[in-house]
Amino acid sequence: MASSSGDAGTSELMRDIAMLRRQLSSSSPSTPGALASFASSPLLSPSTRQQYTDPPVILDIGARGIRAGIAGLERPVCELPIGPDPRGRIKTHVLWDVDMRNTEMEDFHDILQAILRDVYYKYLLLDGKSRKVVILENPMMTLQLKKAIAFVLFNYFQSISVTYMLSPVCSMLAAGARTALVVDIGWHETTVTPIYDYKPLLFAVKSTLRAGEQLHDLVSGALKGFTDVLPSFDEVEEFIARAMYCTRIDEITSSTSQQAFAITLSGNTYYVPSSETRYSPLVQCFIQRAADNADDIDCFPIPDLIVSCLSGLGVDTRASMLSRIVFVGGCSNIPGLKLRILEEVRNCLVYDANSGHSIELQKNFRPWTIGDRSRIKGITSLGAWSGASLYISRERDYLLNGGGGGAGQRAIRRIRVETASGISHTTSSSFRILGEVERDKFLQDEIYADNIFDWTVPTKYA
Amino acid sequence: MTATRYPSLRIHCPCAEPVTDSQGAELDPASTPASPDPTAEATTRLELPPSLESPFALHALNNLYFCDVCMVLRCERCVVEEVVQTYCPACLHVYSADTTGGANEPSKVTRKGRGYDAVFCTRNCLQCPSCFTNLVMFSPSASEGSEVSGTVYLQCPHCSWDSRRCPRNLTFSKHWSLYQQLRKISVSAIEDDYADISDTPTTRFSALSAFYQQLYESLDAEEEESEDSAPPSPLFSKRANRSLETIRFLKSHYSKQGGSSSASSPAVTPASVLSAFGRAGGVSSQKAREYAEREKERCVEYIDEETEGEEALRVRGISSLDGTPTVSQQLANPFVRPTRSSDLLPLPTRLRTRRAKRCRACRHILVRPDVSSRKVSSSSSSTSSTATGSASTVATAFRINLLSKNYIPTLRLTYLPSTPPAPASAPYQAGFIPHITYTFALTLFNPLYEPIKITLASPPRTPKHSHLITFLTPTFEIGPNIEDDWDLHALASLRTKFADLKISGMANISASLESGRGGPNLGILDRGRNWTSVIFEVVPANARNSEIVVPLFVSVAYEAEVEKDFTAGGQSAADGGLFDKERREMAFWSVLRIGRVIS
Repeated sequence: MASSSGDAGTSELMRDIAMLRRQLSSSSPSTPGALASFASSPLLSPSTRQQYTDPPVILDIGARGIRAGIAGLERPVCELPIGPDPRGRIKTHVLWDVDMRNTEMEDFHDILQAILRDVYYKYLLLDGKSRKVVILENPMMTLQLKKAIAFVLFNYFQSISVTYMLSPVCSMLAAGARTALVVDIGWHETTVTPIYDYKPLLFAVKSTLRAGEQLHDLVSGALKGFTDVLPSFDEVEEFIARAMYCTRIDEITSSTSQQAFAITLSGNTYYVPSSETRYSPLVQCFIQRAADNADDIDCFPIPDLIVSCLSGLGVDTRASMLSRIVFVGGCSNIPGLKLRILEEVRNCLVYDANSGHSIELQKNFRPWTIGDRSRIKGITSLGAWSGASLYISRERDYLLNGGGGGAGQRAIRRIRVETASGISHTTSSSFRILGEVERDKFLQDEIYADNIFDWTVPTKYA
Repeated sequence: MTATRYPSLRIHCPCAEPVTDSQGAELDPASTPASPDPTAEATTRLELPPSLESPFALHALNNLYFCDVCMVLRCERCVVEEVVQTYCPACLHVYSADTTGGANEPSKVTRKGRGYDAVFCTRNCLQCPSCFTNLVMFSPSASEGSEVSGTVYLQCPHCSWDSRRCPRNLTFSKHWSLYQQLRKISVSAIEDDYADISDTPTTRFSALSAFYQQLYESLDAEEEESEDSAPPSPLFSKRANRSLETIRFLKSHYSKQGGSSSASSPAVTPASVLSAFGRAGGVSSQKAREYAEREKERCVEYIDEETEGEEALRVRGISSLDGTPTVSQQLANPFVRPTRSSDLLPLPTRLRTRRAKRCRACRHILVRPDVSSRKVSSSSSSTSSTATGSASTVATAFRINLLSKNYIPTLRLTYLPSTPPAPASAPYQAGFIPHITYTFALTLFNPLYEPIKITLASPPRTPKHSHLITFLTPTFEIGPNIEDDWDLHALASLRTKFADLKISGMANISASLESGRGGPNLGILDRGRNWTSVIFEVVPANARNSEIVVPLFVSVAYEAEVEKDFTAGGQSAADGGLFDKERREMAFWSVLRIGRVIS
């Protein structure tokens, strides 16, 4: 037997025997082990090899909506906002609450599986069990949510595996950058994540509650104040998406737009003052400090948040971040908001004798930004979903087209370390992603299920 | 929130009972609480399942399946779905087909097309971007009734959106493969408007894609190089390694680009690059560092502050929402996100699926569509939406379809007005008045070929607001559903009886019911061949504006004929017939939402 290693014919025979033996043992109905493995395997998979080489499904699950598509595409195939469904089963507009104690996990499971069912069968037109899944996660996403998402995907959709990728890293990749400060203006929170040379600096991540939800409440209150009608959730969201704008600082005083703006609330048309409803809530939500600068630590305005995030970084990393500010998230699409935030950041950081902006903050920052306002710049990004799509399709092409040989493996490993959301692989035909959660293990091993990859614990990915 | 219509009747699927149950249920459905054991539940004290209030556990009977191996109901959550076919809902063209033959074999779907082409109809089906209706193709040159050819434009038959009214006077140069033309247009539309080619997602995406590919290749090349060279010395620190890597990358980049680009770009000398990365000595100038930074991330694009500012000013100038597309219109376009109503482009039609469904516990197939497609020639279908040549259209038949309504009784709820002039819908509209007895008829239809015995059970008071419920007849029988027993007469009699009720009111009926008190027919309104109507009463409690929700447990018992198992015993072969009687039982919870108490 031992001598047969060099003989091609014998080894082939050996392989056949081994395969036959495996087939026999797995098809034997009397062994309880066979039954168990049958039950836990991805059901009756047509071809396992295909599953591992097909481009995975990328899901960007946010509190207010889901973006989904197949890796390799420019944009997600569908973007579904969360809201009441025609069957009257879903009653909320958000998947989870900032305070996870207010989120019933069973409701979360139910709603998520109902939405993902639509995603898979109405938009992606795929079986859940045929593809791997990549989920974009905010660095602040709780483990409870990550586990719940994995549970739904494994239980109701038989996904092969679930991988979490950091959404700020993907947003940066979609900007073509290597170092960036990613500002994600989401629904519950605005998160600022610095990434240096593909490494997310998670210790410096800052977040604030000044985000979509607060803006929604402010706009809703403003509209109610001028019309005496309580606008519905969707009416407010439409208003924010279609009518809000932001201007530069110097345009506030010269703003003469006292024109009326026509909106239709529950069938009746009202005329509301334009800048008070379309501009002021935005500034109040994102830019304005509380009186006496007495903001709570979780309620900083976004410019201050960016500045405080930068001040937590090393001196040499700060400088490269300044010209690489990426804005993503739903509210960042409001025209002019990015410019205004950039301008406010400039005023905070750059000393200007003529204006009296932010004396407090200048103390820490003056040495490294004197006089050079143009260094603070924003860069465009296609969004986290497209970034993940780019990254995974490149990685996949690379591995499938004969990459992953001796030298390539190391290259990949380097990129993986650098991105810290990257990819390793076992064989060249299938690719595995670092931090991949596999279905069989998740369902069978409770300890494994409890140990879902957590970015916030450095030891787990180091 | 959508308003609930009363009365509504939903069947409860216990699959989500304890949520963690599904793993166990996959192995052995009978032993878990997920599938209630009817005998145990019927004899012991009845407990309301906790998920009875969850809207996700309640289904219309038509949305449920029945696994005849496990003998339990299966809802959309406890089936495993497999896509067997995708087709276009507009032109019915089949885009992928199941290539396997046997009903119990795993499906092998061959998907046609990659990426977007796999989810959109790649022929001529486009949708209106404003109201999502299918667009109709017209030709400006063709006269009425003639074949559409040459340059065409699209019109919406519903909202009369016209592609020619787009700012760019959108017309299609060919009358076939409109989808492909649309994709090209989607990219170029933005180019024209914003005059910045690299701003469009498609080209920007491909630029980034190429950028990362190059990055990978250069890293790979660098790895190979370093393999040949001597092992790194301890002096070769990590930082030095990285700068070296970047220099190699830049070097390979420029050697690829050749001499032409190096002439136009600022001079890059090894010294200036070195100075960019190192404190490694050499002349350190701000310019060189910036240049090197840009090279390292040369795909970075800065926010165009001028265009952004202009856009903000434009939005500031609008005076109503009219010129801006709604959120759903913005999200509907998969290629570009329109910001102005005039930017709206036709949408591709999303394909739909036909799916097979399996029981999650036993893998038994519950639904399997018949995918044998029939060929039709293009002449028989409408000229506007089909390509030339013959095309296969989607079939509608099923090979296997185990619907629950063929296995468990159908329930129907009818209000019986007690006073003659009151219309049957009165309490639903006006609300129920507390402390008044309302009478309802619950009709059960038996879909089986065997007579069934029904046992109804409900808590005497509803769990939430303790409205009083009384079922006069909890146990009764329903005849078999045998085809040849023509039952029109009985149905007609029921109809007259209900008509009587409307005229004469409940009083007369109750008198006739009184006469039969104590008999077996107490509380039975009427019965026919395979149906029985029973009466139950509801007395709403004094809980203002509360909903009357009645949980009802229905247990069905019948004797099914099964083929005798000759291999096991053998002694029973003599006593006649090939069939054995086998007692079968199944049970389910249902929820009757009767109405609201007057507020």
